[in-house]
Amino acid sequence: MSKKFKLSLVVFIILVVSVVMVAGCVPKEKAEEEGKTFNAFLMEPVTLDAAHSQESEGIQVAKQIYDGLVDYNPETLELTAAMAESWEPNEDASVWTFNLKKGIKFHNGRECQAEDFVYSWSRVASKDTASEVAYHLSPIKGFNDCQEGKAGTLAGVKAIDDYTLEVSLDYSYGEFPVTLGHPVFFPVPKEEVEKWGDKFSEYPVGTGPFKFAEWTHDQHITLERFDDYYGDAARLDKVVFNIFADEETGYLEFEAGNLDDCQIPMGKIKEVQDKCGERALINPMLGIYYYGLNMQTEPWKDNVELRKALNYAIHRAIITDVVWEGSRVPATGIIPAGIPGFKENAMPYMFDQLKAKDLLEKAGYPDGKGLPKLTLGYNTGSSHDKVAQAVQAQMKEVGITFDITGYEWGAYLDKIQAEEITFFRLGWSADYPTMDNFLYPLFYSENAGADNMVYYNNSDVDKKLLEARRETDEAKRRKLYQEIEQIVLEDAPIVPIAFYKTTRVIGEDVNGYIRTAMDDTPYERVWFSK
Amino acid sequence: MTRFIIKRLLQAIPVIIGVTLIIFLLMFVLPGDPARMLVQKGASPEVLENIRESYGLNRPWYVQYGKYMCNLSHGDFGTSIRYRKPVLDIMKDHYPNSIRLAVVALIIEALIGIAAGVISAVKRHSFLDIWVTLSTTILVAMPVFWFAMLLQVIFGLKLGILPISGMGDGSWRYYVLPAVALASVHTAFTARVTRSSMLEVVNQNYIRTARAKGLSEIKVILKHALKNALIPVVTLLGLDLGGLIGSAILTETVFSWPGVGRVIYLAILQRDTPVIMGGTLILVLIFILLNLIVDISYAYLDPRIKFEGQKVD
Repeated sequence: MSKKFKLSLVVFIILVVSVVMVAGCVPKEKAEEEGKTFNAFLMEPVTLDAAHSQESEGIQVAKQIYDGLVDYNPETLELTAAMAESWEPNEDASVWTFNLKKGIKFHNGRECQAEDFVYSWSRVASKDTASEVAYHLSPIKGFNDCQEGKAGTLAGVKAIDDYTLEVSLDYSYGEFPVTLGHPVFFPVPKEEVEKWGDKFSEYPVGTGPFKFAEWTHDQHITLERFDDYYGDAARLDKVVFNIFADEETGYLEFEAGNLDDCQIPMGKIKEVQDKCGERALINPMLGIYYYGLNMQTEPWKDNVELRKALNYAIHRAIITDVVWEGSRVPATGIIPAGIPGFKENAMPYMFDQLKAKDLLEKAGYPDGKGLPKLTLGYNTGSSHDKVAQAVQAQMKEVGITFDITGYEWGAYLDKIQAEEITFFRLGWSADYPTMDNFLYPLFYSENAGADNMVYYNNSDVDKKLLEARRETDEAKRRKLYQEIEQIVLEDAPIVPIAFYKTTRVIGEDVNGYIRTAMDDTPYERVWFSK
Repeated sequence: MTRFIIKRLLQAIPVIIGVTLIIFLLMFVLPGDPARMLVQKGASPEVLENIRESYGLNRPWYVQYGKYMCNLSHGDFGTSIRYRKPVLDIMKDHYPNSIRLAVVALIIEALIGIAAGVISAVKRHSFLDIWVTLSTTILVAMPVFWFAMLLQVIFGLKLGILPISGMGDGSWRYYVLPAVALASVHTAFTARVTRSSMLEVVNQNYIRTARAKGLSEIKVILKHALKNALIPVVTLLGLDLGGLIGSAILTETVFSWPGVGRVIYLAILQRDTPVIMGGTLILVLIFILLNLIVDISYAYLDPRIKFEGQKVD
């Protein structure tokens, strides 16, 4: 054996050993198991027709089947392009032009073009469709004519050519593109809608990463990967949404290994966190739980000190920790974390009983004396009674006493709208991740009696809300909304209690799973490790 | 026989009109606007009016009722306000599942309930009798949803021998736990009724005669005593099938069984009148049919009973 050969052999052995050692130190990439079916938890949706998408269960499935012009980054909720390649507004943001990507196909194989948006949006706005969520299209020119049955096509939506869509609005709206991530704006093929008529919800066709396969009511909905998807193809073969009547049963199936994700039942959150660790996804969600004070009625009317006293009297963390087991976080304002541009700790009201008592005295009710008989209303179910009891006990400590009464949901909404209940619990969750979506519906005076259930009416806020909507500069717009939030909080028409959180748990071999702050999951990103 | 059946079916018409009218009026009296329930956000007066208009909810109740009955006479059960699809389609999706589950539960109820009742009566004051009495008391006292969850945890999760929920591929294994849970209270009642009925019969002279003739005890009990003791039990079982379909909501919820009970319950919460009407009407028809079958079976069990309703001594 020559010296040279010996040296080469030694070098070779050293190299091999080094490679093996280095390979051993680098964390192993998880091997992907291809072609698997994901078993997801769901409750029975009302509809899978994009034109009627208004409840969370249907929206979760709709977001897999359909796609829109835009989407949101699942981690940050920042706006991203989807079917639109680009978009630009005119000078005052009242006309928006969208350039569509070419070659996007519906699940029936036909290319989706600009005319499909004209048809789909007009269908939503039409009087005959009677969509519960048509109001999302209200900024578009011609919306009212469609709602009143005077026009069949939205005058403000035009297909300039196959791949250019022009949308004219009734007013300047800088955040209009962000609203287009709501399923009500997702295109549907005319020929399929006409083929199935009222049954389109049972046979939905879109351009999303998964195509619809089967819906056996109250049992399961099966989706299959759409191989001609224009974006990154889904890694799963199928997603089966197993339909449950309640979360407890779903969680038992999850424990038995029959589900890959599941909603965590109330009362089990801490137990699941202990058992599953990071697989329990308890993350911020875009929703607020609040108590409303009807600003048109006594004793709330013209008595900001009293309204503020209520805000100071509540120890929110005790309620979120004890009643909700940490599945909610104490509210720190009106706009929750997760909304791009939200302001941290916007709320000036921390728990301060002395301040509450002081304000109560300034309000004309020292130690609560002279306060009229008050009743706090809530809708029965979902621990609302427990929250009401906790709030009742905390308020009593500063001298504010009231009865609590639970109502069945249908009667409850009627009574609030009729101003029979003037101190009430309500919640609000985002349709799209904008600050406007929390402020405009809830506090714009013209929405009084609809989403503005507290009948809040402040001309300064109204003016600023319209100004913010017109603003195209993102930084300026966000600043304006922060100002509006501050004014509303100072007026205290509501008592913010908590922000919602996602309460989802996933299986051990599930990867790439994100539960967004809008409480949905882009299943096309999910994969299984072996 | 045919005349009897036709007569009974004709009697059903005023019952149906009465039931539909009562439900319709009840839905009107109940607070809660169906349009408001449908629109969770953006519920401006114009939007709500549009929804009311599209479902005819803004017309007086008698106009809505008249239109409903007119459509019903053509076999049209209307369209669900919430699901925007024909009520008949919803019923077709859910009623067969409820009926199948109820039939299995009824079989369990009949087999176990009657057997336990007979044993308990024959072995009166024995250990077996005490055991049956005790277990039936426990079954009646136990909340159905709690019992159902107990079954799920033991047989589904811990032992893993039966499915926890749903209908799966529709195999018999999926029926066992929900049917047992659904049958639990009813089985206890059947056992109690059978026991009392048997105790009454076994002291009759003709039973003593049968024994004196030297017939075996099994023959005496099964052929002579049980057949005569079955009339109240059959009435109970006959009506129970309807009850098992209509009252299965807790079982359906816990086991996520795709039955009609939950559909009707949700429809009540949502003020979805067409679904409530359709669901209840079909249940009424099932009850009418079951009553008829029970009446016919009386004649088989006791030949002295004639279809005209006259008992001949």
